[in-house]
Amino acid sequence: METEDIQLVRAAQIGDFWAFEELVRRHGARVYRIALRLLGNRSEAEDAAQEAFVQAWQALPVFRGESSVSTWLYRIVTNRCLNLLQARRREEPLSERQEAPTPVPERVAETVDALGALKTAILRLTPEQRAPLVLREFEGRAYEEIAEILEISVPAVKGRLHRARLELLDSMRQWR
Amino acid sequence: MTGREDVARLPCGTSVAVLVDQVAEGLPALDPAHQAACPDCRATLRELELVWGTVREVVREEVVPPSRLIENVLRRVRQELRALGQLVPLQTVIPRLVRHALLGGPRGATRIADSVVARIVAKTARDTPGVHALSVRGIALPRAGGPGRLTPRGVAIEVSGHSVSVEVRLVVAYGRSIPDLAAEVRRRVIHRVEAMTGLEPTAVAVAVDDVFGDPEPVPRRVPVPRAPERP
Repeated sequence: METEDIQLVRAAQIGDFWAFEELVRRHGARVYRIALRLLGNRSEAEDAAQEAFVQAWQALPVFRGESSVSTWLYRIVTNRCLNLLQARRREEPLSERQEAPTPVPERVAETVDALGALKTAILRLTPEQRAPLVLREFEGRAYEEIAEILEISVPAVKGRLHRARLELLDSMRQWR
Repeated sequence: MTGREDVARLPCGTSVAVLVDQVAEGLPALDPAHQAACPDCRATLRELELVWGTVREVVREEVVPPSRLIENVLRRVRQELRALGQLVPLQTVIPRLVRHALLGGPRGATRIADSVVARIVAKTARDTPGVHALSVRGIALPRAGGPGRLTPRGVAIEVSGHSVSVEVRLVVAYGRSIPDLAAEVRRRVIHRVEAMTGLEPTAVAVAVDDVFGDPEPVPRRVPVPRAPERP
């Protein structure tokens, strides 16, 4: 899979549009899934995934194969979502920001089912904590790869993941 | 955040963080004997199992991307290809993975980058009468190569040792025999690559993506003769 990915990128780099198309088909679902988990909103996730691929296409000439193709795509979409979340946070008034890091429809305690409560709890994490959590729990990436995607150190990944998990535990305790 | 330190350790002294990791990562217990006996640890582990059971349920939920996602991405990229013409980002001179063909010799090897072969192929194909342009997925590329073009698009090269295989994509002029034209392009490419590089072209695949100058009028645009106006 990975060797084929690299070959596809190489072909796309010398102008084979079909190869790029194949990359989009291979990674489309995954890129969308991450965006959805990070943003919590289908239409925003669709936009983010789409823009991430356009950005990947524009960045093809600078892709040197130092990281795997999927890591590279993860990094592009994750950064895009984190920037969006940051912009969203800036737009909110200060008072609200202190209460909720991201606008979430319901409070954890108000949701009826455990699944809904957990999803809400994930969306109430700070983006800095949510990203490693999504990459680890949902995508099953290794610490080293998450560090590469988020461009932070492995201990920082572990620290954030840890806080994210304790935060989830806390939210779920409150819910029950 | 201040309350965090209070919950961080159980009365028995076990760190909650360690238990969280144990459950979330599916790690073996650090201290199985203690965990089996300690009511605090067991209660916390039960609670964690419950929460992470829910996490795993959410993880298992299938996420189906909207079916139009892929089409939309490709449409956007095609639009950029058209809008940017030859300034498409792919053509800027930036490091890329360059493969070299290798010609061994007693006093040192000669290495020829695949992009060199690609340029030769592109020029040869373009200069063949009947070829309108190189193409990327049916989009004719501008004929002139601006400065800074490292690899021509519409050409794919695979080098291996001293052999090279080539794929070239074309838009051809309307009216000619396409098999004859493809054979002519193949003949010229093989000859030119051999003459200039000494490499052996093992295969030259020619893809014709479009024809140019189609004399057929586009349907529905044919002017209908109008009845003479009445005075």
